[in-house]
Amino acid sequence: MLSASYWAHMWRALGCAVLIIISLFIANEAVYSRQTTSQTVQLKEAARYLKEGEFDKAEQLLQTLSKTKALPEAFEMLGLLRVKQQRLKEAESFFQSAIRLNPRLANAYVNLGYLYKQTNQPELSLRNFQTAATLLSNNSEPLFNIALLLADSRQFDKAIQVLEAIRINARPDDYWDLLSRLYLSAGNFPKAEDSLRKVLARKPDSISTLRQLSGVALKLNEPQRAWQYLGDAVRLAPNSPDLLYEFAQLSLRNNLGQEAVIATRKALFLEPDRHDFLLFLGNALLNTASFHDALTYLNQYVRLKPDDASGQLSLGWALYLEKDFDGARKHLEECLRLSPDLIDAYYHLGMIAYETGDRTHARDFFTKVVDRKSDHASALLGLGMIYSSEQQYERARLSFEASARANGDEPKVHYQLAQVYSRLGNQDAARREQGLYAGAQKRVEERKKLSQSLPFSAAAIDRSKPNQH
Amino acid sequence: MKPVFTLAAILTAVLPYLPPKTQAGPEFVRFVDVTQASGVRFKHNTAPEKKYIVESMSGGVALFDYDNDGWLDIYLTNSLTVDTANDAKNSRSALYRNNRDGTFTDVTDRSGLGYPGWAMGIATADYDGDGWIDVYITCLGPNHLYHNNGDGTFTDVTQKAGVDDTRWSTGAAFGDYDNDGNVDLFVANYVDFRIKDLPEFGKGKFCQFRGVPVQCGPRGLPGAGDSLFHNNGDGTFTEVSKKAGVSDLDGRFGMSALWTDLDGDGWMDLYVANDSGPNFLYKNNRNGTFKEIGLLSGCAVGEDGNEQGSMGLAIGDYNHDGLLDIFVTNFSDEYNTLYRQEKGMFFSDVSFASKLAQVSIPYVGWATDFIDFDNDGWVDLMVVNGHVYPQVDNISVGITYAQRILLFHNEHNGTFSEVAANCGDALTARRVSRGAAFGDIDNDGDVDVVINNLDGSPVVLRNEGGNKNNWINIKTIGSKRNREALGAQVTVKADDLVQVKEVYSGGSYISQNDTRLHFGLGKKTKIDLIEVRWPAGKTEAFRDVPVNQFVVIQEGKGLSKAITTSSPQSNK
Repeated sequence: MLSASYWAHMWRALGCAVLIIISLFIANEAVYSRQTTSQTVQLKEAARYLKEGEFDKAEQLLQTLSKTKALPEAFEMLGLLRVKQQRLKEAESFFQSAIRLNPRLANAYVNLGYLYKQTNQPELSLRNFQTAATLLSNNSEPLFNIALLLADSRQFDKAIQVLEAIRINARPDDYWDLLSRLYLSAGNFPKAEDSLRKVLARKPDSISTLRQLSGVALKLNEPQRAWQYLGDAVRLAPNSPDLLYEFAQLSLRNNLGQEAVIATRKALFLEPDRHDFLLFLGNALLNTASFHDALTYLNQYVRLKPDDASGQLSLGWALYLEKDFDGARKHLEECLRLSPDLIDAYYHLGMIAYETGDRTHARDFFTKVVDRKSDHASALLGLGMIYSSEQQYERARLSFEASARANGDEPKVHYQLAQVYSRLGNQDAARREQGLYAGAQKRVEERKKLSQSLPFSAAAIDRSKPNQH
Repeated sequence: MKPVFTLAAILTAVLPYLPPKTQAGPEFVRFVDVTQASGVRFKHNTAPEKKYIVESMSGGVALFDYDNDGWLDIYLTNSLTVDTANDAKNSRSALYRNNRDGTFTDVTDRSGLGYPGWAMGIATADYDGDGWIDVYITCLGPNHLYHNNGDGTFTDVTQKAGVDDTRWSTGAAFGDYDNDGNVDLFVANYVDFRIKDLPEFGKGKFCQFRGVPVQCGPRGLPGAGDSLFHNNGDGTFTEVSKKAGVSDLDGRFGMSALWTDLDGDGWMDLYVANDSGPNFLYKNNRNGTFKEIGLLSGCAVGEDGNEQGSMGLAIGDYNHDGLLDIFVTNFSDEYNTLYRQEKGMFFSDVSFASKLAQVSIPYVGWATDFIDFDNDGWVDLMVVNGHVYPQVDNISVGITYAQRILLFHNEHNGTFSEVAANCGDALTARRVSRGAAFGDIDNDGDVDVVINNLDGSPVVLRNEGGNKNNWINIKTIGSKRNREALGAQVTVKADDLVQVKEVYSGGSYISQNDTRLHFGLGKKTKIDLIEVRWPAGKTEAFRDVPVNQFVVIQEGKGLSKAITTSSPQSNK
């Protein structure tokens, strides 16, 4: 989870670190405690030159100080100068000289740590940050970098341990952000969510944090909570097409088809040229049983992208739901021509065969699906229904049970299992499945109720934007 | 941007309603609209906008012989509106006496059946065994039991009999569930609806249809439990629904009910079609109680486990396996469901396999029955339709408010063909139909239909040509107070043709069909065997019975001819 971009961020910070250290030279009298007043003045002057980019003057002054007085700080500043000049080998040498002259010069270790990190020597980098950490007990920077390095070597638990050792009042602003990422990397999603909630407490308007929280909730298999986080993000940025689209996708994941439709309609209103929105809206409308409406968008999408198999698949399914079986077949077959791996097309063809009373073909199609994806819940359900209609209840039971294992939240499969168990004389199992059926039905109802709590309404579309339709 | 309407779009929108031309089905049968000639001038009233669900559900029909002359008379229920609900006289239901010549006379005023209130449906039975058919009318409370005085008049005996139900009642059915010889009464109730606390039109989640504001319900409104009245045998009833286990504690939205002995054990079971929820199958425990087994037996919901909005109900043996099957009509976007019975009182949803489902999807189905309209010896199915939301005509969703009839011809192989387009324009006209009763109103040997339409005139559809095939019509008379022998199962065998039918009260949708059993016989010229299993189990058999006649079979007294001549106007 610690991405390259994070390190890029840190190395952009390296330049800043140089300036910070220079500033320390200028401001912090303690740094010069072992120097004469004159030397201190000269070091401050060199630091100012560095800060202002007057590298020649800085060089001249620092060379003098290093050669005549052998001041470790002068060597360290020369190292910083060489970093600025991208002469990293010389920089390393100067930092090492500084440390030889003063083994407790913590900043030199820090700078070496960054240098080795930049030159892809993580072991050396880690060792220098670790030494710095022992010398700078009040400064979180070395620990923070140690945590990053450990994370880079996938030692997430150790990294978390290091990060959590940073004293509360020394924690940098992005402490919780990094910690949440480390927890995520370690697979500790509850802790990651806790950390992100702390980030959110500091930055309640942070859309990116809400999106991350949504992602974590999904990792925790809490799609409803994920939907709520993203709903909060949508409230903060109601006119972000991408956010609306993400929200719509999560809505559909939660079987909240109506919300998905409203959000996608709005996204499409804001960005009418987005083909993916068209396709998604069509699919969301299918989810709300608005087959007729769905056809409008799916036809439009397929006209624009005739070679997209997923569009052909959705249009075929929509036509099937509208009971235009011939039209549906045409698009489903085209889908398979474009992408033979889209096995849902076989499933839909199976359903067409089933509903037209052609059980033989229905069985063939469902079997094709299950051969390719053994846990395809719908195809297993379809196969079970065929066996059941043929009074092959034992085979039906096996199919239904496999379907229920693949998707236990589907009321239909529990209904069918209740039927089959009952016919097989297993009344206890039948009653159990009847209970599961009732429970699943109840959840369907609850989802309908949840859809009352819309995070925004269609009326909230920003009418100030020009209508591009 | 304004929507652009093209011809193509409009055509697409109406496509589901162009009746498919088919080569299947009998070409020789026509249903002819004879309403005008019949003299039935009834008009059903409701509020045109249908702002409240209660204004969308009424319109029952009964075909019953109230004057015992051997000819079916017609009763049509009428409804009030929210605005006119304060006075029952604001709406007149009607009784028409059959003149035996193709016409009917309005005898409502004399009968005393004109003003039951906000009437929904009707079920008939001779509840006191005096030989005259009595009438139970369900209403948006209170219901009414009218005792037939035998002289063309009726007396409201609701209070005395103890069968009042002040809730919103829909389907009712008489049947002797405890085999004590008295017919008991089951009443399905719909929504706990109060005129003084009306749900606001279009407001709320369940008051929208495809984004358009419509009447609320039934989802989102509280349901009402059902009632079972046990007949005490002395003209009174006792409400026993809780004790019997059929009170519907969950408050489902009851619509239609039938007493039927599905497992053939000699005890009446009860099937209840519920709107927007699972249907009930109450298995008779033979001790005055029932066990609800709808879900486990496979006849409560669609084959995909989805609850359906069930309205009408018919029971019959469509595939000649000797087991009674169940057919339920449902809301649009669902499909009408055929539950085929298998051994052990299990059912399979064979709606798609039987080719009944697909064509029914855009329709809101109501009244229905297994009728053998071409007398080929295999029961067919008729379904009357009509949406509940007038507002659907304002949205382009491929659904219309007024809808045509669906007529399914039994192809003798487990499948049906939709043949309405081949059987006369009267079937393809669009109406907003609700109740319908099926029976041979002109006694000519084929099954006719009377349909009650919301906000309009009823339709009397005379079957022309059905009697080109052979047939027999059997009236059963029980020996005890269950005079009509409700629940009797009759098997007719003619060569390889074996049919089973049961005598029902109620069913269809809030309507009462002819209780005489009509059997088509195709080209069979002789009936080898008629076997009657009377309520409580006694069986009688009659051999070598001639075809094309009306017969009466009286328990323990044998078979006799009933009517031997057709009406003068029905020479087809």
